[in-house]
Amino acid sequence: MAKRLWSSSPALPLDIVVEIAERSDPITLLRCAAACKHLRRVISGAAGFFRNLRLRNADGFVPGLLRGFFLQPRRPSPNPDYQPLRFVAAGHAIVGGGGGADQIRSFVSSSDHVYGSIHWRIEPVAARGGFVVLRTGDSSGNVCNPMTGYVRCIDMPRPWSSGSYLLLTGDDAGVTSELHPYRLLSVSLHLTGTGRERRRIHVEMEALSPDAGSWGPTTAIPVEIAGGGEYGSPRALLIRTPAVVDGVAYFLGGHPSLVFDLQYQRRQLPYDYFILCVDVSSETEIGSATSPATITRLPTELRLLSSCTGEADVSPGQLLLVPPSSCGGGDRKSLALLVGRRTQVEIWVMNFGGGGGASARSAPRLLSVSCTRVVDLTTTGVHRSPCSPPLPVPESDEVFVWSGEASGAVVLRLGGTLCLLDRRTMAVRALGEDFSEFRDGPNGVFLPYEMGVSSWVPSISP
Amino acid sequence: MAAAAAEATTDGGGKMIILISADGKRFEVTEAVASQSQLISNMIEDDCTENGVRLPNVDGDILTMVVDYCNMHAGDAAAAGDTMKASSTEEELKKFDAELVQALENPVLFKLILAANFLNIKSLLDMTCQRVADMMSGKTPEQMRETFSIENDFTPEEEAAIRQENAWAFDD
Repeated sequence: MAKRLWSSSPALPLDIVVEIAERSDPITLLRCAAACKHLRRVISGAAGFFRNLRLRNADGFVPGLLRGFFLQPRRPSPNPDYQPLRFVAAGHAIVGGGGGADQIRSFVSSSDHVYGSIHWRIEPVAARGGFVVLRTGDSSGNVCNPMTGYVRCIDMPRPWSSGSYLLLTGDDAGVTSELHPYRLLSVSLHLTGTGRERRRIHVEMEALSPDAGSWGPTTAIPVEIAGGGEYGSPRALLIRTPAVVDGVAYFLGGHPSLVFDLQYQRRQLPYDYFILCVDVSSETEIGSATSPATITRLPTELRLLSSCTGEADVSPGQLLLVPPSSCGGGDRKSLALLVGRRTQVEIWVMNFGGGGGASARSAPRLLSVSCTRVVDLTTTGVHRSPCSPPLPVPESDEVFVWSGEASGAVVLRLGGTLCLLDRRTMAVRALGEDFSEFRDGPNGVFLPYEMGVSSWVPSISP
Repeated sequence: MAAAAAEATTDGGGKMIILISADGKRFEVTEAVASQSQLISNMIEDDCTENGVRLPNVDGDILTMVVDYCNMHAGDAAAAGDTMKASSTEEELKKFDAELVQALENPVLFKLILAANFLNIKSLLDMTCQRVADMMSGKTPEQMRETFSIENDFTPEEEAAIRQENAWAFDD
């Protein structure tokens, strides 16, 4: 205790420092374990007592949680076959792998089977919170966690279904199973009533039973249209994988409509965008009395892009729903919408009320929308490598590809380059040559992989 | 806050006890409020709170915060009846907790952790440790040593090996 005499800040006992480290994120935990021998011994588990890690994503984003990308580009025609699955690590200077890159690579090579001349294609279809859903055949697949070695064979019906797979993991609320620390849902939009009947839209949701590896019964969830009215477009579809905030999955949806103008030429009308909110907070809720889902149309000012030639429409690629950055209060019911307009990124904050939580079982409603920040990417430029000067941002519309809920990374296409945007700093970094097959547009599997926080166990030699 | 009450009165059925900080400040609280501290709860059971509870490890300004926190959270266990009231106070409590830790900087926050640890108030210890954990995000091992006054007892070779083992966590 003599240290206190010269230190204005009291020294915490090391067992409290360990308590603190166990509530941080994986990267902070590993750095704590590198501070001194005692911390290393205790955190590595060598001290002999059971550590109860309560790792979570700390207040804000941790870019290092984005471990890399599963890539499986198509070969150019005339043989539009797929290349073998590969994994490209996200960090720029990863020496000797680490951080699971080795585990993931060996996982990828072991799941790539070649029997004689037949190449069994393994296709990753969803990844979230450390888990990956792989399709291995017409009706079979896997749920696995390459970082922990978890693998479970599952049924994967309906290869061409319009459903969106949603993985919920121990990092989300409501996932408590230790044996299978995830839930896999399939969510899709459906219409009932045809022709002149009143068309009504509803959500169908199925949940995987991890024990059996099979899917439970389909639950039809009624949809309330915010502001009343009906929403019966036959082409309504879910555009992207959802952002999950506080037990509610928010899907960006829309329906393109085709009309014929006077010259009888087909012309695309503006997309009618909406946000579909589905309560996915608790396991028992599925199959029993479910709270209705809601559809909320995006306000018009979000759909129209003003340019010198008048107003143009926002294409689906210019919109991306992301979880809020939690710096500045911790309102977990809010959601952010990134809108790309030329080289600018507008950040709109949408506040939802109701829904979520265990107390108020009502559908979440959009209470307010406001643009809180506009970032011009041309002011920072695109960084190729840490030491070279940034390149100017090309004068073309950015297209959002993916958003990481834990890392705060956003993948976007700028001109002909795939880039990574760090939401904390809004700095843009170009992804390298490994991604050249994807620079012009979607071309096979491009699936970023964030590690899970709660199911991860550090490997530290004492 | 430094109420120097001479006799232990009853207020709303609760017996009052007096907490005395290191610098001699006196705080009068009900037993229900004070027994959120496992340490004091044990003392109440053992009937040794008659002449006030001396807390030589806790400064007056820190004890002020602890008492505020305990007063705020005393309803937790007691008011289980009225659900309507309970849910509104739950929101208030969250706001109070967030404001309490958000405003604190290191020396005070650490003192509050030490107080919560000494008094054995689990919820306050949880909350303050979580706050420090959130503040540690993105810090280097060297910055952590500084923050926690830890001496680096690794040789440069050991340190290099440690970084190598989980190189990805030391990227920037």
